[in-house]
Amino acid sequence: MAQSGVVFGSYAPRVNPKELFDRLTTPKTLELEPRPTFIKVGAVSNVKGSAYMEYGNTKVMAQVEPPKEISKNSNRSGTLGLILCSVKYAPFAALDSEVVARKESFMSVALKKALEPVICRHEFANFQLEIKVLIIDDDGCALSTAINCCGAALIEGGIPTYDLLTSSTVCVLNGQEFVNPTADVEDLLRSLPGCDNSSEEHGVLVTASLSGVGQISECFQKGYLLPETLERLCDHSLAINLRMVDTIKHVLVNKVKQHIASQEGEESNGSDEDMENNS
Amino acid sequence: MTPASGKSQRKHSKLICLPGQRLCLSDENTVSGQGTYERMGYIYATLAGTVHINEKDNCKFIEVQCAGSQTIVPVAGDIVTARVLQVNQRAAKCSILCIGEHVLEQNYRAILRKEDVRATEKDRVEMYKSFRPGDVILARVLPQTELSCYQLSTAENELGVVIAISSESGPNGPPMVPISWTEMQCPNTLVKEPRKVAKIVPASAVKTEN
Repeated sequence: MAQSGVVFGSYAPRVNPKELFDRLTTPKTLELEPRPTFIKVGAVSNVKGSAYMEYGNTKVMAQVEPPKEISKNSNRSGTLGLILCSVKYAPFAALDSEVVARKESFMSVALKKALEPVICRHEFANFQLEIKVLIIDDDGCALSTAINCCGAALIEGGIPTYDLLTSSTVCVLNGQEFVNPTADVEDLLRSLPGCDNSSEEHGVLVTASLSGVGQISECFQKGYLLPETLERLCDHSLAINLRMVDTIKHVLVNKVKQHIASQEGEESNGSDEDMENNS
Repeated sequence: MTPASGKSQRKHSKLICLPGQRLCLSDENTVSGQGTYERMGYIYATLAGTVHINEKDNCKFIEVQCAGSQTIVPVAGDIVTARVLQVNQRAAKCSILCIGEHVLEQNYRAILRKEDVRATEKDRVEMYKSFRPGDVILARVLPQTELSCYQLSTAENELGVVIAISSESGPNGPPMVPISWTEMQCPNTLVKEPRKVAKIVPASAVKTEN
């Protein structure tokens, strides 16, 4: 790696991005599959709504704070609750500090936009819900993983939502489509020279969708993409979202089953005692 | 889950649902209850939990019981448990601890005005003879007129002071025993103190307004 003179993970505009691109492993076929995923709801024991998610090597943690009253001085009118999102990188996720600050701020805004349509905000009029996300490890798709993780955390916390929320990332670089791009691909995309009058497409697209009602809550695009490409990427991303729903459903149904089983355990203990009394 | 299976398994209510799941058709006799919403003629769930169908007055109320505890905030008409923090001549400042049987993680500020202490002889109410700081009260949430502050009312027989400690026996003293609807007595010192005492009844006996 060292002899090439260029390394991944630095953010100056690249003079010759081709060299880095050649080192990337490009997928031969387009597979619209999510990465291997692990989700644990209720990961933080002393908080009600929390979730931990691993999406390949990307590791994200989300937690929902109990609703707080909006302070008097903020003269806000309206009957919908307020959503506050904050995304933070773990201090040990070694990245350029400037890049971290920029990523954190744009991801907070994008996450808020993705979550607002899914939460039944009318049930929290005059309240604010704060959702905190910690990115422990970023190997690409951090925003989409954060959205997925928040969706699970909200449902675990018993906050009414209109639907299950799923999200995924796709990107185009040098005419090559990447589904679930890794950190290396995302870095290269970000460091490409912004405007060089070339007609070559490069860009990243994150969509968040509500599968049941068939709505898209967030469509985040960055870079230069032709409308046809954007449409195609959008379709790909939505297809992955649909596959993702099954995983999230499975995790949540298991959680409900566990809860029912634990309740039944208590009840059956009670009924056993009753039986003994009768005999 | 089809509507048909929902009806056949009514008694078991082991129907698991997730947010966004279509539960059944909505018509005059099928009403969307807690944990559900209505959209385009169908009823959908908003919570992950089990479906319950309550029949009342020829109507079916479709409700979703959340697995684990739901996140809720006080709504007008709820019976809440609150602690009195501060008392002055016109009102008492309180902090809402529970809604019904649901213990809140976050306490919410509320105010109980002099005119909402009891239903009769409102002009003769004296705040200091009704509540003291530290008392635990049962109250009903009034419709919110002011932003960021709930208004409470104890103008019902079943509402008022539930737990109070006599001012002389200090914070670790025994709770006082109600002797009438206006007085409580300390079991140790036998001191009587005035309070707006709640008549404790089972939760089912308190009439619900919503």
